[in-house]
Amino acid sequence: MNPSPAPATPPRPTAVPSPAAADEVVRRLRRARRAARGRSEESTATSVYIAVFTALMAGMSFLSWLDSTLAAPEPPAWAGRVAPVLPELIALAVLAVLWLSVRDALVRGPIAVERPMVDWLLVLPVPRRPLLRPLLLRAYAVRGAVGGLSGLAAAAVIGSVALAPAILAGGLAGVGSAAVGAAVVRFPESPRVLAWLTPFALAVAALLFASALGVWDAPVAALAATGPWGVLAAAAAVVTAAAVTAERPIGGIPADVLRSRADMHAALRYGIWLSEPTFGHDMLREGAGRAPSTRLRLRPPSRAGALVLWRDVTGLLRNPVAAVRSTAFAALSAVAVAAGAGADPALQAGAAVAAALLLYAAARPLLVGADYTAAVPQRLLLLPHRPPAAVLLHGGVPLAVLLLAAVPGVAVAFALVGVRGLVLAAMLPAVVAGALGGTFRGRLPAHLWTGYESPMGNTAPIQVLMWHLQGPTAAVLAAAPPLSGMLPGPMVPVWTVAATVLLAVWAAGKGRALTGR
Amino acid sequence: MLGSVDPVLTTDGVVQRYGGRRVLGPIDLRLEAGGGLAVRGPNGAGKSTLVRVVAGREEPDEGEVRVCGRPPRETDLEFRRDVFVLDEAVFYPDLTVREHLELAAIGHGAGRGAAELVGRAVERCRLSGHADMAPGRLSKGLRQLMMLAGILVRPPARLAVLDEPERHLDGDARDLLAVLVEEARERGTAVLLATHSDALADRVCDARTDLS
Repeated sequence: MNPSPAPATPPRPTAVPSPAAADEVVRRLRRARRAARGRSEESTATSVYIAVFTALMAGMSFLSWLDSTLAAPEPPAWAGRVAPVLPELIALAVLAVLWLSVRDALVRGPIAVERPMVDWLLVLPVPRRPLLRPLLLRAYAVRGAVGGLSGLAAAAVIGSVALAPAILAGGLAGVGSAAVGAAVVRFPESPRVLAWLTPFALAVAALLFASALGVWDAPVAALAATGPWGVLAAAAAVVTAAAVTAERPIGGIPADVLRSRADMHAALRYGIWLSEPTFGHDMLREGAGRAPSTRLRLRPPSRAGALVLWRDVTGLLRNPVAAVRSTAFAALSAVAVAAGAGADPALQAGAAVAAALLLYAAARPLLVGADYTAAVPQRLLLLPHRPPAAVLLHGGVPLAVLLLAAVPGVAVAFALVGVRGLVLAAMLPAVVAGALGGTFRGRLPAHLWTGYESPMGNTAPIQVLMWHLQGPTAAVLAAAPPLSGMLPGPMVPVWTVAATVLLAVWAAGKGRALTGR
Repeated sequence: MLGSVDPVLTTDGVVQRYGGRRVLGPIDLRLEAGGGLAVRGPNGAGKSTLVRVVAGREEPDEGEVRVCGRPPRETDLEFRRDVFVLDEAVFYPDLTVREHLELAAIGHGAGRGAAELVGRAVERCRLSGHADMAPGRLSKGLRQLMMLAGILVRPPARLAVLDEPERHLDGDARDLLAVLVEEARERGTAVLLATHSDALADRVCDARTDLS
């Protein structure tokens, strides 16, 4: 009998590399990627061409608009109404930026790591802070620049705000959002932060609205009375402290956190290149561990014809917030209808458009099942219907829920403005059909990037934008005319029925187009 | 056993090109009811392209494909009734494994018997401990088993098109796959199997075509 082999000696651990190793790793990576980029000159040239072309098309339009707005002799008439409530509006904007930064950081965040970096560099026994710091600094610079441009645009639009403070305020908001985002990414308690921040933010927002309406005097007005530079100096101190504080612990961000955020960053990049803003949303909704809890179950029907309805009800049961959002937007829609009644024609039309958009916003969250199916067209073939029929069936449950969700708003609108409140309810089928058509629009066709020259510039960006806004546009075209009260009485039911039928046919056609048949 | 005089699947001179480059064909196939045809070849030989053409997802640039006497169109209800296609897993992230199988069973007319049918399929495909989880939380192997279980919750298909069904499956699961394919053939289902596995091809198919 052979003796058992001697147990293998485990390898002796080597010394941990010095911090300088991290810098050397980054230098080598840059050199290697430069070499690789040199080997693909053609694709680099193409990428540069596309980037410059896109920047010129978007940037020239923006600069042209900015130039004409700044050159206008007088600010627009409505700017005078905004001036008294400007402190509250700015405070609301800062609150919104803070809340959005936290929400973004929970799934993406400001540190734009590439997935290969996570899997190849961050697993090395080198300090991570030198690897991640450049990315955070870049985020500060980019968000600061975007914030500054936004401040410039806002000052140009409002007209009564000085440019320099506006640019600085925007820049500080941008840097601050990156700092907040970095802190949220670093610390695992972050989801709880959003849980208490949301009601707090809503409460503060409500107080600011009340102050803007003159119901209450918020301290912001008193603060603003001291002048912009004092406030900005304090803000700059706070933001600088936050930025420095957020940078220190970034070396401790767990790798799995960076991995998931790297995937989201990639999804956003692809979404921008493909002009598909929903790309990241699909990944967000369907990423590993992000699917809703499946504890709540509904027994499936025995008839195949009811399967789509069961699929949609299941989706809504597992996303209960959708119904809450829907009710809130439906109520706001009724408020818009009531606000426009009896006003001058321009205001009536504006209120009707707002009401139609709010109706669309009420319908949209309920299309949970349709969203899932549209994200991967192959799922249309899991359903026992021809694709056009499957698309229309996806509107059944949302319409039923929306009719219920809209009852409070419609009742209030009816009490305030009479029959026009009922028109709100009558337009719901058309709005749902429009939302369905927008949901099943598929991927952006490449030919839309070929525009033609018009007095407003190249039409390509507008074509792309309109492609993505099919749903809200359909809702506005269908619902705004009857909601504005400008249609003669007998025309309203005819319009309602015709709009519903046309949009239903349009939505069904999307199903056929998505599956290529 | 399904009876059929005409072949279930024929391809006559089928050619497929991508960007001017021919990636498949010309290929002539004939598959009778209950027959089993393995399609072999290295990566890039056109196996998956052939599967997509037969599954009605692409139209061939040249030639003709007929499945059950008709051109394959996966949007046709009759095509989906007659043909079972197994390739990459497609699923709803918010539905459980059991709910996916119930969707398939009821969609194929199982009615009130769906729950029992699905229960047996779940047990047979070793999904009992995972049936109430969302597929997104499962390993690729278990997702593949979920897709495979789809063949048990529907009436026998006239044609089963399987594209590398053995991927991500362990040894026992591959045995199960082979048994399920054999049982399907005994019920009269014609099987078109694109695979890298010689063992699987030899066990479940009696004819072979090589695309290399």
